[in-house]
Amino acid sequence: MTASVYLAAVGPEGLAQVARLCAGHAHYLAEKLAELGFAPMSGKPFFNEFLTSCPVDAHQLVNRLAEHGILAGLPTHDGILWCATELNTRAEIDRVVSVVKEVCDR
Amino acid sequence: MSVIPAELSYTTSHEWVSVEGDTYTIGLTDFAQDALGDLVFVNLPMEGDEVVAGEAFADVESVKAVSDVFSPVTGTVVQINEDLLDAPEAINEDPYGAWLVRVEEVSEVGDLLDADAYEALCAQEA
Amino acid sequence: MKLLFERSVAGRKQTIFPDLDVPEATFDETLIRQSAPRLPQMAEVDLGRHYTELAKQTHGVNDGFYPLGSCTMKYNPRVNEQVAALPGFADIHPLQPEETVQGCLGAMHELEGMLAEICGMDAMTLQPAAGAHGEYTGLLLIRAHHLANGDTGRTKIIVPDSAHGTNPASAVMAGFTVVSVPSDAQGGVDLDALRAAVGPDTAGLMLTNPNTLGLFDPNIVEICQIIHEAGGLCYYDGANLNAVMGHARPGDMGFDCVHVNLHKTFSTPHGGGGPGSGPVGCKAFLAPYLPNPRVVERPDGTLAFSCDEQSVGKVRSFYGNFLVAVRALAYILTLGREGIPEASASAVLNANYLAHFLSEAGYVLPYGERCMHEFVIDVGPLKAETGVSAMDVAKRLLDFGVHPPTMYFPLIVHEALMAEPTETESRETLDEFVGLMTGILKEAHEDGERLHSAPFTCPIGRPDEVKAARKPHVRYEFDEEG
Repeated sequence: MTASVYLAAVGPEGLAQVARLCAGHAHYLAEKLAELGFAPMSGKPFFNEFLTSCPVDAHQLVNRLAEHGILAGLPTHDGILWCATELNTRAEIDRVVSVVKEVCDR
Repeated sequence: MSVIPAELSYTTSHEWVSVEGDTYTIGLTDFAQDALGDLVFVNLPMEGDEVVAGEAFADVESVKAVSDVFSPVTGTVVQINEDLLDAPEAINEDPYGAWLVRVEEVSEVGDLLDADAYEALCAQEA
Repeated sequence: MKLLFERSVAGRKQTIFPDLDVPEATFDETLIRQSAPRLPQMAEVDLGRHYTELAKQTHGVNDGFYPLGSCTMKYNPRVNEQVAALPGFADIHPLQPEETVQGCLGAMHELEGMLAEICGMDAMTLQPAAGAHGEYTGLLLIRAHHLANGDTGRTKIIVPDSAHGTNPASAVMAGFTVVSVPSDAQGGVDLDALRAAVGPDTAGLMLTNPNTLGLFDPNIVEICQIIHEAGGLCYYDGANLNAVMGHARPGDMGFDCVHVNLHKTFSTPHGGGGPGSGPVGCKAFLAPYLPNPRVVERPDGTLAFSCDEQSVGKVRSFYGNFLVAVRALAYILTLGREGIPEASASAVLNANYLAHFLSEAGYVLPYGERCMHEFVIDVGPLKAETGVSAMDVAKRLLDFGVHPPTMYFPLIVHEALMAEPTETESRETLDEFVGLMTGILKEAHEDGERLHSAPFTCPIGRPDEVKAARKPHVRYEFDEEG
């Protein structure tokens, strides 16, 4: 029922805008992370989730982000799975990237 | 008061049987269809399947519950009433016309009741 | 009653999302929809009114008495909702690092401990999504145990004929065949039949106590012994735990594993307010087989998820219906050590109160007036006399804003109505119910024919159940197929 109410509330235009925001934020994040050496793994189109390699210790990175109050990145066996949605703003994404840069610079 | 044709034989689990030569035709009695309520699905065996006297060989689903249908004989299914698959309500409307299966190569016939004995059983169970 | 699609007006909208604050992501044309999804376009006020109208045509525990036997439709305390809405419980992600969800792990660990205490078990899992799922999980534990012992011949699960249909269904799903044992005249398991049914192929027994007739089986200890002596295990269906919690524990009766229904006994919402949750508990020797992962306490006192090699595996995504577990925890904490047994005692008292006065009013109670938390009325005699069936009585109750008792279950009583008032109903409500049922009895004798058409004042009359089963219409058809 929750899903029905949500879909009725956002309607076709709202859902499309949600999708644009998700895709936009995720691709923006991916681009900024790539600049830091987090290379995209699949090379295929993605929507709001993407797997990258991880030039630093993934668990340490995730913990450092958690210390900043950021829940970001799920370590996998060969990289990190990132996600950005319509709920994340550009400013928040920039903050994630700056913390990641800080960890990489160490 | 349920209908109990005199020329048929009956089981204690409320199936009817009619015999013509080597062919045994099996269905559900009026008492059974009334107790079951409106039927919505019938699951029949396939042609060629073996049935065993006293064992379930099909089931019928009413709005209330699924019930097994027990075979009065041991033999091989030679024909199934495919019309029932789309219109199970035929069993409610015409229980003695809406046969379920026809069985041949019958090697064993279970205990059967005649119409009078079946009527007595129904009176007891009602 | 219009559907959302029928209220939709092109161009209407209610939510305003922010503009893109980053460059737009571009995709190959083949990945982009050519037409917009056909979702409703509505103003917020109209959407609100739509759902309000739907709610008005829905009867829940909040709307009136709901004595649906076997379901334990007790009041869902609002404090549970507040606790489950706490951001630390509600705004988390199941894959968050364990260090960041210690409170959640703590809630799970605490609830497991409390449920184990109530049931007399040594270990619990909160993973199963509801009752039948819990049954299936319990059966997996039993199977794992026998296989670990090299006992591949134990293929049969014994189930009494009064059992809820989910019991044999779960047994078959778990790969067993089902052996049905009859109930004796007092409604309990026929011991001789049980002894005859056990053997080297017995994997176990599934039982609920009190049973689906609301009767406590006085032979329960012996029943479990018979199964154990044959090498089988005993599974307790916790659907009727509301009759005994705080007073008797299935673990002490002899059961090896149990499931509980949080949405019944532990006050979490049913159905639309749910989902349900069916935690499973077991004795220590079965614990290694419990679904992974389990919440464990580390030597330093922190909590973590841990996986056991012998586990039967996952039975549910993540850890089960977590927020439902939180509600149940809040409930148990609210009631506490005194409240739990008080709740079950009141449930039993309310049921006996109703049973007595309904019997006095003229209803037939085939197993007598003494019961536990629920009892069965046999409308068969009334049907024979007046033609009025259990269905008719049930439908007529709807006209008075009362949800009817369970109809046509258990199957061993034809024309059954099974009533379970629960402990959260006041005496006035119970008296009112007796009055309504008395009135219906009178109507049955004076004008029984009319009751075949009940209800008269509901939004719809009796639905065509056969048509609903055979030709369900579950998808809206747009005028233009786009």
